[in-house]
Amino acid sequence: MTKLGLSIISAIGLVATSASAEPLTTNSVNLFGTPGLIEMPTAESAPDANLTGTFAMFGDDTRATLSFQLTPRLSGSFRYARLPGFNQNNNTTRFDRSFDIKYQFWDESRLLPAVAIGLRDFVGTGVYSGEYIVATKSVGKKLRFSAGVGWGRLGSFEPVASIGNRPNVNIGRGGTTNAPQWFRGDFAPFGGVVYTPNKRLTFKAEYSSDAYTYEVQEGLIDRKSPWNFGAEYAFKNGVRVGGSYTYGDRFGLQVSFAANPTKSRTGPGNENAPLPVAPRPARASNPSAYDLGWVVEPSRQPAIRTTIADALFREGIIAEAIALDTTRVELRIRNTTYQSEAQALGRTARLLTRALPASVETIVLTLVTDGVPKSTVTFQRSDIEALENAPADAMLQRAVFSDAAGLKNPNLVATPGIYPKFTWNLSPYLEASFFDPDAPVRGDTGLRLAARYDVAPGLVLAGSVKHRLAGNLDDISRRSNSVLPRVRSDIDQYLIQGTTALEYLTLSHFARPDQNLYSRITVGYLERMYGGISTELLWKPVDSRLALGAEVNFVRQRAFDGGLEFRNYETFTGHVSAYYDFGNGYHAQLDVGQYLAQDQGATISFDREFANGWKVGAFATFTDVSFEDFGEGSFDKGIRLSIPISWATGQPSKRVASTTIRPLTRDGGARLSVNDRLYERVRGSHQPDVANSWGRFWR
Amino acid sequence: MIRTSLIAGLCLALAACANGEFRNPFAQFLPTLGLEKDAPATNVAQAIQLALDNIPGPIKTATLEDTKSTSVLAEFGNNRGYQTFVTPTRQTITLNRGVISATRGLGFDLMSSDAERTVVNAQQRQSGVSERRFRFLTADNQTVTLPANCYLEPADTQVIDGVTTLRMVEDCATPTRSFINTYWVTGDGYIWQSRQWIGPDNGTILLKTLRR
Repeated sequence: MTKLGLSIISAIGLVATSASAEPLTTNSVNLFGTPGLIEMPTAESAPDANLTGTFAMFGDDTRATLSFQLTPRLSGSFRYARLPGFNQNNNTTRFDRSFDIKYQFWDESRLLPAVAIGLRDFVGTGVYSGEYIVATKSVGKKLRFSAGVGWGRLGSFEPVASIGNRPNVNIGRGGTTNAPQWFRGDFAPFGGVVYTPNKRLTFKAEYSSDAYTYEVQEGLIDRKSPWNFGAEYAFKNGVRVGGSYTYGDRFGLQVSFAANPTKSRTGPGNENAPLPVAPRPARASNPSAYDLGWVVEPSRQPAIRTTIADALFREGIIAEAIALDTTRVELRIRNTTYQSEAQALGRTARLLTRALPASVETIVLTLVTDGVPKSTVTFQRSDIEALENAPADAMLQRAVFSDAAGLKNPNLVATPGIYPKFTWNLSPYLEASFFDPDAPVRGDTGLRLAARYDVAPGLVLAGSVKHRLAGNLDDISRRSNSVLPRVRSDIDQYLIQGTTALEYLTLSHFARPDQNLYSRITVGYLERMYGGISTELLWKPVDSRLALGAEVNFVRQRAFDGGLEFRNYETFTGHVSAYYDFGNGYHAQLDVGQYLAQDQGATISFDREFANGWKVGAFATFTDVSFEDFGEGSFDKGIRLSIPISWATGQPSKRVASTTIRPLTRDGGARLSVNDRLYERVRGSHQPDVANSWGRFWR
Repeated sequence: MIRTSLIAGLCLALAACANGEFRNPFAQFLPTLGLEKDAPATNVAQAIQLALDNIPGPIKTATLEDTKSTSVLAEFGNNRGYQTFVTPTRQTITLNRGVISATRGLGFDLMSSDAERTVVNAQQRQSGVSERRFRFLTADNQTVTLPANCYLEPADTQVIDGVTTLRMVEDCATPTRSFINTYWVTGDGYIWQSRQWIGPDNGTILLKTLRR
């Protein structure tokens, strides 16, 4: 399995560097929520970075699919299906999770079609398992023909030949790949045509190679014909609705929603215009402007500092400390408003041109989060003046990034009223859980009261209490059959007993032990299920794409009711981690260590990231817990998604909505969920991330 | 798609700006403007009069042709010949000797542009070609550059607000579209009025001079 993960990653790496021509794309999806005909796939990809959610009803079956176009050619899909009557023994409803991948390896040319290879349901219980190679050729702008061969389910109707024997389908514990089956056994042809008379309408006809062998045998479907027909309508906002008549027996209905991180209805968003640069008079024409009298005048310096801090505050930037010298100014700024640190730097630099005496030429801006300096960017004021109307790259060439540790300027004067500082907020919350067979979607809503006391730079007391007002998350009747320590699978008890619960209450200390090093110590109630102490050290040079980290925690399991009590289970858990930003939008992370159930192993994570804060990724954890002991799903895995609020609203904001979708939550490979892990809090201020959004510097 | 209205709205935050260096020129009389989004034309006229009465220095009006929204602008900054004009609601238009080089606060802003030959030809009231560059940001914070090949030539003489101008028409073609800019240039080479394309999303803007 690990080997498979790695080979997928290396394939992605190859694709990212070698792709040059445009792959054949479509916005249309099939009943499996992937680009295709009605049930059958085509060679087409979705537009790059498209995230598509499809809800399809096929007879009595329901399929919910989330597809992501990982690269222009490679896509991945996760599907959750409800299949009434599918279970052989007791004629009950089956809930099935499946993963697909598809790779378009050949571009369409004037004469030759685009060709793709794909695996349907290649991890999991194998209900939909099938592999295919398919070609698609467009004729004019309105017609596309597809033809392919399929194996497995896609080779079950009137196969023409076979390659060896296909081992038996294992509808079992799931989680492992069905690699021995791939492209083995009978194969059969399929194909179809798509007609798109205009932007809104699509008509489809296909010949399906899926015999629905098992379903026919169980009397779930009466498959009279291999021919399927469908139509699809695309609304202006990207929502697509489709209907189809399939196998001479049943109707299909589908609705799909697409979002693309690289497109937003508000474009790059909107905000108040920045203050324009105020250039200094030339020294020759106005030498008195460069007079250094202000340095010795005792009242001038505090007045300048106050002016700067007040003006920055109105821009949503906090000046934590300011040091004024005759020719140099240093500011420690905390950006509370802009998703991109480049924008905060640009606004600060321009504002300073209006506030600083003319003699100040060097502008040193240190980005601070959690009271700790993360990076220092140095500008020459004459560059800011000269390049305000030039392409943004010109300014990037002139900006100097350096490590912020050890640059303790004795002239730094703390801005009054920044520390200590108490803040709180009361807000509603919404929580959902998915994939419990008894109720595939559950949710809770209630109120959350969070408070934070910044005692001093780097020292934070923070807590949060939530109270459930309504919902059915605690309706869980399914008890875990885990044979491991119950480190996560007592979730039902936490939900049932914790109507009002303390989510966390911690004292955290953040520091810079040395150049390139960042540290965190967090003590208290760390998360809903664990309390204790969490310590972390991160190595990350300011211009590096690589970071290394180590985290050691000693934790004890908290009481179910969300109060201050603890249960008996306690353990050491911790990891060493490597993070690498490939620089082309792809990011990998490897964590190796001991998990909560004292199982040892590694988590590999892979994300596609966007400069505007979008992330779409997947992770998998393999530990020394056997697949048997782990139980259903065999190992921990999931998909994670981060959507910046600014992308959705067009207004500047640092807030991000994040979610992790796990098909199953069990006890193997479970990590502590502590707040403020260092890597994500550090990298946004570092050169690679800042440079990646540099276009916003002049915004 | 949201088109930001250029119509002035009351900006208390700006009015509160204390230090002159940071203050929108409109700040001092913003409370009396009483403008709201999609304000009727009378309010725009009132804003124009207030601006002319209270703000020294250059004043212009801008109208987005697509939304027909109009606002009054006053000069807020001047950096090496690039004049930045601001609306009461803190949107800005930066002009390189009359040719729009950037916008901010409109959404889908023109981030920067190169138009040196156009500027020189307009000032000298002569025809000529110009290779222009328009830079925009994507939703993913990346800069995209749109090149345009333009040809500027004099059309006719027109009197605008009592000012005699030479109307000059600039025909531009990008790889995917074409557009036309019009400049009304005074005898001393000042662009008194213009109709300029500022991007695929915001379209064309009409700039008029109330005070040079």
